[in-house]
Amino acid sequence: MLSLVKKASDLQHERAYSNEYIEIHGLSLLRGSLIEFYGQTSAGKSSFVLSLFAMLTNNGEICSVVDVDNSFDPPTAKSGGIKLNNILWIKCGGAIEAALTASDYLVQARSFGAIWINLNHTPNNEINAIPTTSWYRFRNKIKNSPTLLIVTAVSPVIGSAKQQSIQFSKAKTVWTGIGKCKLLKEFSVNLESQKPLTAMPIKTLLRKDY
Amino acid sequence: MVQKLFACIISDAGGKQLIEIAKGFSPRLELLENGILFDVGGLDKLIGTPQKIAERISQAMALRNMSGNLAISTKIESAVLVAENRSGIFIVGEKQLEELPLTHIPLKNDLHKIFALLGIKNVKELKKIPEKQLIARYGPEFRSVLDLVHGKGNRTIVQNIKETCASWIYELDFAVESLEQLTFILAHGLDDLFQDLSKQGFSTERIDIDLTLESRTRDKHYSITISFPSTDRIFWRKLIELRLGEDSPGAGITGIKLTAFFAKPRSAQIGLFAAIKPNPENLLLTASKIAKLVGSENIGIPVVLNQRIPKPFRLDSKKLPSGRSASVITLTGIPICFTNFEPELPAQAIIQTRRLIYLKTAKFKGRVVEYGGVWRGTSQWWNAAHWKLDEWDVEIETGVVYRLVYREGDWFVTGVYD
Repeated sequence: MLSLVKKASDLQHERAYSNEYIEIHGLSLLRGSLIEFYGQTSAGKSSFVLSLFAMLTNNGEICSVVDVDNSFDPPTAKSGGIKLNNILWIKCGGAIEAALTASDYLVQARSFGAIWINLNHTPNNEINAIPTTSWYRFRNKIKNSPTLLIVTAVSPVIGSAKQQSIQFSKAKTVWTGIGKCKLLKEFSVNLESQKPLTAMPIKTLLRKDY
Repeated sequence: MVQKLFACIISDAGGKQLIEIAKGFSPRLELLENGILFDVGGLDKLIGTPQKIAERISQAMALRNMSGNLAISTKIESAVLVAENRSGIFIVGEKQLEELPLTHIPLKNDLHKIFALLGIKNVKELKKIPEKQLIARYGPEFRSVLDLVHGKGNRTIVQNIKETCASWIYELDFAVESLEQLTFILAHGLDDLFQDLSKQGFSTERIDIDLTLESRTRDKHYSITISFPSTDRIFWRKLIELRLGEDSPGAGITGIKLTAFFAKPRSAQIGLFAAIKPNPENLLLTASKIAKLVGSENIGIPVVLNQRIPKPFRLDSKKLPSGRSASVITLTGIPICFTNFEPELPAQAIIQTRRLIYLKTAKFKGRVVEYGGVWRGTSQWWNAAHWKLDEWDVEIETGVVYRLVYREGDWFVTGVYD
């Protein structure tokens, strides 16, 4: 007998691979869009991206890290559950122009699960020198593709070209232990959507994996 | 149903020339001691009657200035027998077989003599004797001789030519100097080469390009190897363009040779829920373009090393992402991510009463709010790569948590948690 009820596994597949939203830790990220994660250092931007990459790479999608300042740390990524064999790592050595051109090539391929342009350690004067038209170009090229183009930086960089913008702010750092024997335990982080605007920030915890 | 038809060329020409001719008609060939045998069944729709096929083969032989005997028959044995023993071009029928002298039929020596004494000189005369009597007199082994003279047989082609590559060669009247012109000619060559590959049911993972240069004594050689078989002409053309762009021939080109090495074709993946990922051609092209931009050593997959060193990871530039899903998925919450500073930031750390109280670098400074550590690491004391360091996780007043390292009397900030 034919059933109209789909298996949970089928539904999971459809949701993961359709050109729609990716749900992760309370956020809905639209495939084929340009997304900005910004906020102070230690606010959890990179951790959040790694968590997203872990989900995608485990599903067999290929993700790319455009590592502008060679800051990507594979051991952390591995401990975060990322399948490193599904990551294309591009070390740009501080050359922001090369990073943007490389991102352009990746966007043109139109079939990466996600592309992360990491501008966390890039000096402000270099970031400000990126013409806004570059971001619009990315936005147009990525449209109707399954790729999430994520840009992380300390302050907003994309301007009006962004389709989603999430501000990360750290509420507190939790340490365990007493006296001299202390261990970093977790960051308590607030995520606030700036575009589109949402009413309430999302509160989440990032835990240190030893 | 396709009619079986076989052609046999017996010639003094070399095996290479014979193979070239035969490959123009069929992928199923068998190299004989003094000729070649190939399957021409099914060519009737393409060329026409066996006579026309024979004409076409003899034209191909004439083009290569090759002389020899050609026989076409529905049975391999008959084609070989006639081609070996009669000069000219034959479509083997009963008549051609009957005209053959018995000395050309493979019989034991004494049988040749016996038949000669009996006055039986050719196949036609032999066929007049009842088969039963011949078998009763000369034994059951004589059945194979009778099958041969009656045009019966069940031999098949034994494909004994194991080629590993196909080539395309082009000599130019004038030297080509621009990359655009060269890629145009190469695209034409790739077309021919891939047609050849598909005829033989192969794909390729490696193409070698040999360019004869105008002003140099030595040729320029390129070899492009990919990790998956592909006969996508545009993809290969782009790869060749990228390679030639990276390492220019540096002189006018007067001759081109493309060699494609055979590989089993890739099985197509067809699935409704296939993971989103670039196809291998697209991924390799994208990676090649980026490699040209950032250097081939700066693009690849990250690898965590099982070694006790300060930075136990590296970038494997020889590999590209595989796109395989994990068999077991164990995702927990969000782990805190560490990111490196490259280069490390030299720092000043102020310590009072055995406690870190202040941290200062060229990029930031601040009072230390909390810290965890020390974690001491050392290894490779037995060689020059010996290392020893002390590490702390340090939170300063701005709320940022850094990793502080003390090494050989100096302080460094090696990264930050984000």
